[in-house]
Amino acid sequence: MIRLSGIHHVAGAFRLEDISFSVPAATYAVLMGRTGSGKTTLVEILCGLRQPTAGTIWIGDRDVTDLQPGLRGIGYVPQDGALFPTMKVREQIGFALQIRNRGADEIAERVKELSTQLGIAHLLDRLPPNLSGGERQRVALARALAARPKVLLFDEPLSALDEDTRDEIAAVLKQTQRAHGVTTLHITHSRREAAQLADTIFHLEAGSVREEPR
Amino acid sequence: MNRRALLFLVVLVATFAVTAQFYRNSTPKPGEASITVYCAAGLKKPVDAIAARYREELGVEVHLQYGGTGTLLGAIRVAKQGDLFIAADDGSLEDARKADSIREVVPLVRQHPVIAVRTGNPKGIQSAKDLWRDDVRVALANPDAASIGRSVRSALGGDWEALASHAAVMKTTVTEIASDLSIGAVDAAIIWDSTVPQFAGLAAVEVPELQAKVEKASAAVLTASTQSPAALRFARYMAAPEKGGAIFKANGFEPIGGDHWAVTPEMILYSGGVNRLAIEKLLHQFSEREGVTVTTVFNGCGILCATMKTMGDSSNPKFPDAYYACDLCFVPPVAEQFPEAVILTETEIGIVVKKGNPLGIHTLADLAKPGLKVGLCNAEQSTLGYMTRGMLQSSGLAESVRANVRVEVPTADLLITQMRAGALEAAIVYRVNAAPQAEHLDYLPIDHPGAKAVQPFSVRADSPNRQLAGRLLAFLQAHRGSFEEAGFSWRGDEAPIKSNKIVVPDWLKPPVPAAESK
Amino acid sequence: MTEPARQRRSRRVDPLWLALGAITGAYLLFILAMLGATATYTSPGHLWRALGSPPIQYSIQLSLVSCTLTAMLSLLLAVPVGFLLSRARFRGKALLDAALDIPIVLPPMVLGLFLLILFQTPLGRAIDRILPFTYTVAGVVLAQFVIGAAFAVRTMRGTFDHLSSRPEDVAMTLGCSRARAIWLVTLPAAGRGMFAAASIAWARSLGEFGPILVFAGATRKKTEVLPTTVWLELTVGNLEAAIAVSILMVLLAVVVLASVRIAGERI
Repeated sequence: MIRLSGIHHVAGAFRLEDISFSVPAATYAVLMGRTGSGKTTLVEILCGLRQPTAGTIWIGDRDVTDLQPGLRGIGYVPQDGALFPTMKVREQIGFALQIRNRGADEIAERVKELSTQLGIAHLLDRLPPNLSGGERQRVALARALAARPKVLLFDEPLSALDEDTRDEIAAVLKQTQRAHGVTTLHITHSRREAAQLADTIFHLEAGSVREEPR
Repeated sequence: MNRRALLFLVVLVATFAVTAQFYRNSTPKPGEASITVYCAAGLKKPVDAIAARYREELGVEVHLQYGGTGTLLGAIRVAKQGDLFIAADDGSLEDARKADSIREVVPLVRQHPVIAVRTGNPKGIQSAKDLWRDDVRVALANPDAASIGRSVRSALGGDWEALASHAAVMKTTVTEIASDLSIGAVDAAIIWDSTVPQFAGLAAVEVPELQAKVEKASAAVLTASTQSPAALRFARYMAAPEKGGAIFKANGFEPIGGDHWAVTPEMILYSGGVNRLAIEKLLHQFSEREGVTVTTVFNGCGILCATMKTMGDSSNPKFPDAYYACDLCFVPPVAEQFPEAVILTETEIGIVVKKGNPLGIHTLADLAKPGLKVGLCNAEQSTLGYMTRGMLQSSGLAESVRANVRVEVPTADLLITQMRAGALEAAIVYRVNAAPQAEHLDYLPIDHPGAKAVQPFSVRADSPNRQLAGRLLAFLQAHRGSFEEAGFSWRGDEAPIKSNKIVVPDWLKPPVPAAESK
Repeated sequence: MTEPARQRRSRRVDPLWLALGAITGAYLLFILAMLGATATYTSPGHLWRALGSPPIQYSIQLSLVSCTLTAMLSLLLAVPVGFLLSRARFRGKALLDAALDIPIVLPPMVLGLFLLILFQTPLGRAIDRILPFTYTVAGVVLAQFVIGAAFAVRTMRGTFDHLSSRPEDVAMTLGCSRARAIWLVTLPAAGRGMFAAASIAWARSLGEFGPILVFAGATRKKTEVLPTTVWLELTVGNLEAAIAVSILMVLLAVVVLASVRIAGERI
């Protein structure tokens, strides 16, 4: 579960004021907002890449407000996947476990498991420039899942994809969330995506978040 | 990434190690002897060759830096490191002296500017006027950067400004404009006569206004140098006719001619005894500074002259290179070998008596008082004695004072000693002898035109250490204080005098040499 | 209307490309003409002789070694500084930018003078006593480094500007500190840029003359590098030798830079 409470952030003329909302555990939440409304800033704050001027962040039953990004248990999938430019798919997926100094066997096992699940087992030795948009997102997702995060954060994951791929990946996202039972927050400006995927819908407008009644 | 990083690190360490090797090679090793020389660009060719020979012969590394004279001077002022500065014109040397950047100067070669053209003189340039033609492109050197520029500006006077504006190009060293001429980018360049043979296909056109401007290129020891003997040694090598001189000649330069080469030159100085007080320490400093040996013979001038006469002529290796007499009257006997003298100091001659002057002595005549115990210097052996005798004779007191003379000694110091001991009651000495004894003895000036000794310093004209002796003279002239401290009056800033013009007063007839009497 | 006899299939080349091609061709021709004209002043014999002369051999070696060291040191400096300039946001950044460009703007000889003066200050003299820089090989490297590093910093800054920081962020969420994320993700991605930065620093160092002359001197077989060799030969009217060495420099630069480019693709 994700809970933000009283988050304040000022960046130039741009303000987030008293952002408070909760995403229940194991549900798929979608946060909607216009471009430029601060969605990405909010995501960065959640990840720990940016510090709020006030407020707290809870993930699961832990207060992670002061924790480094790597300790928050978040799986982050930015726009366009943001794959590591010089690493093979295999290495990308295994990255989180490598950092945690897990054994080579364990890593290989997990990579196999996730890549099979997400249908990219045949791409393990490819480099990012040789992947299509859809393939990239799948890899990004696998990478985010490797260390069994408590929470998944998707920042406009489908915006750069064409129509058909979009549907395909959307299905993958929903499936994965259900299969792994992970609390998921999906940021988008698309009504359609929200309708397709969300258990709960939030709106970010004028610097505050409100829940859309179901 | 780690593999690449490792590779980078390995290559970096390897490169560092190799560079360290080159570095070690480039820094002066503590035991290794080396000197740093800043040299005007126009002299590069011969100086390079001389430095190579020097390294072969003496194992000393000469690090050379080339550039325009003016440019180098600028660098010297900033870097405050280095041992020698070879300037191609006198004006720059003056500037360096004024800026207190240099000390001793050793002249090397003579040069004068010429108009250089390509062989065959395709544009038919015959005179300075031709430089103004529209079809003639002229290259000049910047007067602030290069000696040649400075020289030419001085030679052309008011015309320089106009010529400079007309010139096609101005560069900072003489070799650059010679190079431009050689390639054909310009038709004429004003360079040194010695630069012409260094470049292919050039010829010189002499013009009167430039020909008269003869400059000396000289090596000067830098004030910042920490090893003046090493610096001077190389300078002497460059100036020595059989060493540097020969190489300069072979490269088309006109050497001025220095002392013959010796790794540690030895020079002999004959000096009157009275001068010892003033110059003993200075001589030591000089020999340390130059890295030479100065053998000094202090004696009465009469003895010194006699010794020189017995040696015959100056081909005798023991013949002194310099002669510092007690008085002018002792120069004419050896005027042949010492044609020119520089007066450094003078001192009065007077009478010393016991403190308080109990016996009431006031004039020369009083010395004839009966029973007085008088001491004089020997007239054959010492200048003082000789001049004393002259004074007594011309005053008609010779016989009467003679009667009182208890003792005749070669030098005045002995007279002082005897005065102090009480064995004498009066003595005729130099003022410089009496001054330190002011507590014990009274000094009375003598009222006689001859009661003054004037000390001249003279360098032997054909001495193999002529330039070195000249530098010794310059060194002494620069240390006026030492002489005045010893009690002499300074006259070292006057112009040199010709020995054969020295007028010896009647009462100081020249000593009759044993061999002849003309 | 009758069709022209020409086949419709052949595409008409857009005149734009012709124009660009002409400009590029002219520029290339100019460079080659300079080289060509100069080459006629010398001969393979001269080149061979130059290669055989010990001072010139020393000069080639010192040039290669010092430029390589300079390039690597420049890179070592340029990566962190370029990264800071690219990513960090702080007041006065524009001023810092301008300050770091000073070595590029200064006339090379003036740079040498500045270095000379710097080492006359009390601190400078102290350093010079322990580790002599003035008139030594260390001075050569330092003089090259001051300019090489400035160019390398510019290049790396540009490289980092064009690298998204998102993968770095993701790496952080996956458990890295920022430093580790940079090391594992961003720097490998900047690999091409780093090669470019090192190459620029190397190339610039090879031709560096002014500062070296003033600060390190042009002492034969001590601090002599290829550009100073050319100058030294020129000052004695040895045109042929000067040109031979210049051509040598061009060949050397082409060979090394091409090899680095090829090797860069491989690693």
